[in-house]
Amino acid sequence: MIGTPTPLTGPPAALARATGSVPEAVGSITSTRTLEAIARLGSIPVAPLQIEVEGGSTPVVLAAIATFFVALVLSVLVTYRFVEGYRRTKARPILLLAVGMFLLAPAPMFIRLLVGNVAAIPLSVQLLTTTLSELSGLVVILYVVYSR
Amino acid sequence: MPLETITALASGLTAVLGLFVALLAYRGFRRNDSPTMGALSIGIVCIAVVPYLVLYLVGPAIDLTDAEALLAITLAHTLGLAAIYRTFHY
Repeated sequence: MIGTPTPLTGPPAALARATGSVPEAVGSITSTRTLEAIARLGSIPVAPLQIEVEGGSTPVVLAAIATFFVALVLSVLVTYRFVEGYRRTKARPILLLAVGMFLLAPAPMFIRLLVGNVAAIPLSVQLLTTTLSELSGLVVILYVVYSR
Repeated sequence: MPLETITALASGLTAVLGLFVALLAYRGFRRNDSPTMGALSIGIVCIAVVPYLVLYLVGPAIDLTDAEALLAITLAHTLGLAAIYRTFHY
């Protein structure tokens, strides 16, 4: 993950770096915060936990991670409400909207969350997978909207 | 063809298709006065079109850092999804 061209690897990748305990070579914009208070907790000596953030200032990165998780929860809720609507009405367009919405929003976010933290999977594969998921979600929603 | 090129093409196609679906949904909103279609239109623009604009146009133009661009994209996602979620309470 380190040394890759950074353009938007997604919050999971940023999170992975932010929680990394081993100091790593980082890009041009780096801020390091040592949480010594955590190290002092308990009687067992613990090495200081270091949080490194790259790609921007710490508050912006933390805000991006927080909004990512808010969006993730909202996307699951929206999909769930569509599924609930289908179960209540048994209307096929609502089921298709649920499928389209799942492919458009929660699926790419889960892919970013899972795949973004696996260094063995290249960034380009992750980006392509999320883009294709969004594209197929839009095609499904297009079908629903077009046929209305 | 390199994977990056395919991804860039797919991203562009997603943005164009997103704009088209949003326009259709907006037409549905105007024709049927359906709040769901109106919210779907806003939501799709925020989820499929805005991220592309931030990533490929606005970001490089005003020199956003990765974190700022990421924040803009996740905020757009959140606003779009909140707009769709709001319609369930009607």
